[in-house]
Amino acid sequence: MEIIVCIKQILDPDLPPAKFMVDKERNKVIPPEGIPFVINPYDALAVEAALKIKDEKGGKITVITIGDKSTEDIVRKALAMGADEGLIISDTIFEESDSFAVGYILAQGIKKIGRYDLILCGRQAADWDNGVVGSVVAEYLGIPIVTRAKDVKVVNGRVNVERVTTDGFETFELELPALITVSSELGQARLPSGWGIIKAASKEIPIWSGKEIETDISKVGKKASRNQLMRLIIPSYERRCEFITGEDLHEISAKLTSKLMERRIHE
Amino acid sequence: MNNLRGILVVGETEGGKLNPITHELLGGARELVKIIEEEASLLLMGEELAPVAQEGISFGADKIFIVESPLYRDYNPDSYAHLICGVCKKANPRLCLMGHTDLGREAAPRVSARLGAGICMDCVELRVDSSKQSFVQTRPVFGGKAMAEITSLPGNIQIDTVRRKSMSPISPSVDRKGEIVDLTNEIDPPMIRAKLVNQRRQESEGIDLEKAKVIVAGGGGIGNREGFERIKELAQLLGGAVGTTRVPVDEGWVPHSLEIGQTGKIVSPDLYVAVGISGATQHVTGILGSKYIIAINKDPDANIFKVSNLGVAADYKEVLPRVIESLKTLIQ
Amino acid sequence: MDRFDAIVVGAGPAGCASALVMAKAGLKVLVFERGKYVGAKNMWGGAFFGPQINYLFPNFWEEAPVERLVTRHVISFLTGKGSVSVDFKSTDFGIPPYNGFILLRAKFDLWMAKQVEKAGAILATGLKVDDLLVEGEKVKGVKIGKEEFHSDVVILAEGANSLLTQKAGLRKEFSSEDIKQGVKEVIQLSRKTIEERFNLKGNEGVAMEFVGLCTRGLPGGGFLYTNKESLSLGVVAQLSDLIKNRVKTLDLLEEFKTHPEIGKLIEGGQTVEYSAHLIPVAGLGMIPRLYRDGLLVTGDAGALLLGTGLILEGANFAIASGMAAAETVKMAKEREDFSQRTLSHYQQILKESFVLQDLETFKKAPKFLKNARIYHLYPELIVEMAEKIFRNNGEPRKGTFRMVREVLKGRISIWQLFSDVMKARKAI
Ligand SMILES: Cc1cc2nc3c(=O)[nH]c(=O)nc-3n(C[C@H](O)[C@H](O)[C@H](O)COP(=O)(O)OP(=O)(O)OC[C@H]3O[C@@H](n4cnc5c(N)ncnc54)[C@H](O)[C@@H]3O)c2cc1C
Ligand SMILES: Cc1cc2nc3c(=O)[nH]c(=O)nc-3n(C[C@H](O)[C@H](O)[C@H](O)COP(=O)(O)OP(=O)(O)OC[C@H]3O[C@@H](n4cnc5c(N)ncnc54)[C@H](O)[C@@H]3O)c2cc1C
Ligand SMILES: Nc1ncnc2c1ncn2[C@@H]1O[C@H](COP(=O)(O)O)[C@@H](O)[C@H]1O
Repeated sequence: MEIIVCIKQILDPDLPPAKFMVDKERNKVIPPEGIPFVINPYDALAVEAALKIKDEKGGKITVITIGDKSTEDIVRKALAMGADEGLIISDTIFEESDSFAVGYILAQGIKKIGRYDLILCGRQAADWDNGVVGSVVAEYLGIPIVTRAKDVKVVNGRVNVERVTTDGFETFELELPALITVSSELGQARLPSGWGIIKAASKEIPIWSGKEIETDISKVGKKASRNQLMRLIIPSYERRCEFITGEDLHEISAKLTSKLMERRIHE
Repeated sequence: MNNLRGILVVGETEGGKLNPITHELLGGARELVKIIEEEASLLLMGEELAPVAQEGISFGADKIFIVESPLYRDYNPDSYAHLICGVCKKANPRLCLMGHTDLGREAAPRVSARLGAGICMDCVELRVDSSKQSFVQTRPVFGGKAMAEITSLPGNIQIDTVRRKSMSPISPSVDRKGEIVDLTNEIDPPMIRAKLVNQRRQESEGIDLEKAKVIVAGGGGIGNREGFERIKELAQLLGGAVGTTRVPVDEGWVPHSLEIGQTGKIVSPDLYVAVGISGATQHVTGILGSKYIIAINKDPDANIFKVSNLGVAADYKEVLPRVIESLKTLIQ
Repeated sequence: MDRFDAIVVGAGPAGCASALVMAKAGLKVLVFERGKYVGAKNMWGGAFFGPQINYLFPNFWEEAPVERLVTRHVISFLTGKGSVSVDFKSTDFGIPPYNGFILLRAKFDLWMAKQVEKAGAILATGLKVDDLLVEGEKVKGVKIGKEEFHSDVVILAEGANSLLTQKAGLRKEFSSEDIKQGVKEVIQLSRKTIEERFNLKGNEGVAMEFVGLCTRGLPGGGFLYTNKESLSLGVVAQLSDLIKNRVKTLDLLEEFKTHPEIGKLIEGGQTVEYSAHLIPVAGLGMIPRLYRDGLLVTGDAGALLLGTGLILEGANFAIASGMAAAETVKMAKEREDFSQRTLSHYQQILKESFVLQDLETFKKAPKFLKNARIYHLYPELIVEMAEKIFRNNGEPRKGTFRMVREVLKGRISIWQLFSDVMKARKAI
């Protein structure tokens, strides 16, 4: 099994709202200093899904990311978890690419890698929350795709995917090669071991440029974008919260009860 | 792609009726076509579509595209993407609207990749820009910490998925007229590579979250499966549904179909009671439509209080049993 | 790559300094940090004093994320009625090499760790070292869960909690008498507001210390440092007193914030961070044995920090001790001898540096600083004195000495006062 996992470096989604800041003039997020970027949590789960398959069937896992040199940290994190190879695709011509361009670049990178049976992505990147790139990669490569997997199994040269829907589960069977995007219901991503980190620290991570993956420059960057970001604002949803107070919990509970009585549904 | 015209809504049906999201999309589409002075059309696929088509017209569609075939009775990622693409090519809409549902989440990106369309996922607001040439979408990003306003490229088809409850349906009228266009024979049969082999619905007890007028939601602070019994009890007493956050789902205390928020359901009850919920933006983004929010959290600085109308800063284990007891006697 | 020359436990200032020096000397160094990332769990008041940092990172202020320079020191005595401040401003402090830097640990630690990695050390975060590997008398490495990591020497730089130092049998359990607890909030304010409110220009900054009401009269104090776009505000108090009086530092901090003098400084700010940390400050007497076969102890883990009361210095001591440990390891490596005999050289370097010398100089400070009068009575006396001196109610004013006598009357004897002053002269 040759598995490729697409991973993205993002602003920590658990960042408290107080630390989330926006440059209103340039419509950009200002990353707070002292809090490192993280691997998109869904992508960490995609790595986990790949590792589970590898644990069972053996094989090789390559993680791939588009970004600058700083994305090395998340590649090493995936390597420390147990991925075999890491790869960064980096070029200034990629700056401000939209989902379609990112999908195209990944597809070009994957074509250059050449061999793959399974490609895994996160269901969405928890920064811009699009959930588009996986589908675009599948379209460019002409392979089938199922999104939001909670379980991915390889059986007899096919892949079995159990995925979550709003109200339940569906299981699909796909021919390989295929692309699967992974959802949080997959479980928890394993933590790297000490030796995992040590081995990952000294691993070579090649960086491929736009040229090396034979980029058609009309398909990437800002000018190829099909949408334009006009404004990025921090909304305020604050309501005035009145706190119930009282001498003791009896009084507080009684007050809450009467508030609830007022607002309950009468059949 | 030139000569783009009108807005196409991708319809979703259940039990021979349109889903609420389709009503909402049609309502939204009507607002937009008023400005661009073009038509709103609705795509329906599956079987026995005639009565649904009438419903679509009464909810605001000027034209119904019908693809009547058992191939499209159930959702399949390959067949639906193929079909929507095919219909878009025939209908040439400026804008194609889908719900941010299981269908939309999966089909929209694929369709847009194939058509070279622009895409915006999970829109909560949509308007026509002053030139009337492009659309302006507003969507939550960074887990709801920010809102992005995005414009589409003029002259290029745009595909949007729209979040539940962000558009309002029109009041339906049987007097409305519409044209029905049957495209069944114009679409090539799909190539299906992802075969559905099993489907399971998660048992959801009681009231549907998205329709509920009262919701009692428990979060990570509930602590265990048993604790959710209290939540259920309270929900029953108040005539409401049970909801939750990501944490209890991850812990396996409750099924994922009860999760509310960015990746779960979007709710807008009259009363939302949040118990042991911290108020992470990814959750809060799903409850903002609630009319009145009551929060119980032992941490007085919890973020949930910032979006609540009424707060109780206490341990729920101390408060809920008392409240439940009193409610029981009061109600009986 | 299955053996290291040195394993460092903890990536605070002490750990980073030692790892950096060793890695630069070409040693194979592995650093473990339990935080999800370096700096995630670390806190301090906010200022780095002295030149050590420049030895480690020449001209470091040009690259490191320095918030501001300490160009002004203010010491305030607070009571319910008012405050008296000593405001010390020196233009020299604004000239390189600067005397003090205000830094935020989260940013600074992360930056330091990057330098450590650049120098070739391996940094493994999110891993808590559970135990030392000991063979006979010799420390041979560390254990994390089931994994073992072997090295010639282990450097403990684990900070105040120092469980491994204790496990290694180098120190006894700290008593609450020897420990202080600090809490701190980072309060966001615009750069402009800070510069106007504190009368600062460009990269100038102020370090403020408060004595008196901020700890309800308990031994300890409050501090405020100006960052670029936020303030670090906190209180420090003796753990034993907190326990005895059933006071939480958090409550002290809340009270501190409502003091009118503080209130006006933080007005309009938003709290974006809150943290609490222990500080081992009992002076020389508390310092454990700092070495054994295959093991060295640095920084807070070795209680190597100075709390003269007015200023808490730990990071510079941590860096200096980390560097000293690294030098010792370099020497041990040359001799291929990691036994106590060679490692004892560490103690020697510390003795010759300011680290142990300063601690010697101020060795009476911890005891002196426990004198409750400093925190309770004296601030009141000083503020009352000031009031009497400055109040002009139209009547002829009394001579200063008479005023002093009036203020002191019935509260403290002249002899007691004199004896405290003498002790203070010796201690701080
Ligand atoms: C990409 C992404 C998408 C996400 N999508 C969603 C989503 O769609 N929906 C969602 O809900 N989350 C989502 N999350 C997770 C979200 O970020 C939060 O982690 C989650 O909402 C936290 O759940 P919680 O507040 O219930 O639990 P916790 O964070 O565990 O908070 C528990 C709260 O309970 C309080 N508490 C504890 N004990 C008691 C007690 N005895 N009495 C009263 N109060 C008590 C605590 O003070 C605390 O505030 C997402 C996260 C990511 C990264
Ligand atoms: C409120 C307060 C204010 C202060 N103000 C100042 C000031 O203004 N100026 C000043 O110079 N000093 C100040 N100090 C003191 C200063 O912060 C410390 O002296 C200094 O941080 C000590 O550095 P260290 O590297 O020894 O320990 P730490 O900075 O505590 O670092 C120890 C590191 O080890 C890690 N660790 C611990 N155990 C393990 C384990 N088992 N495995 C892996 N990793 C582990 C920790 O996560 C941590 O990162 C202040 C302290 C406090 C609490
Ligand atoms: N820059 C990137 N590098 C590698 N993979 C990416 C990148 N952006 C997105 N992806 C992958 O595509 C998924 C969906 O991203 P998005 O469509 O941006 O929400 C992510 O979870 C990743 O697996």
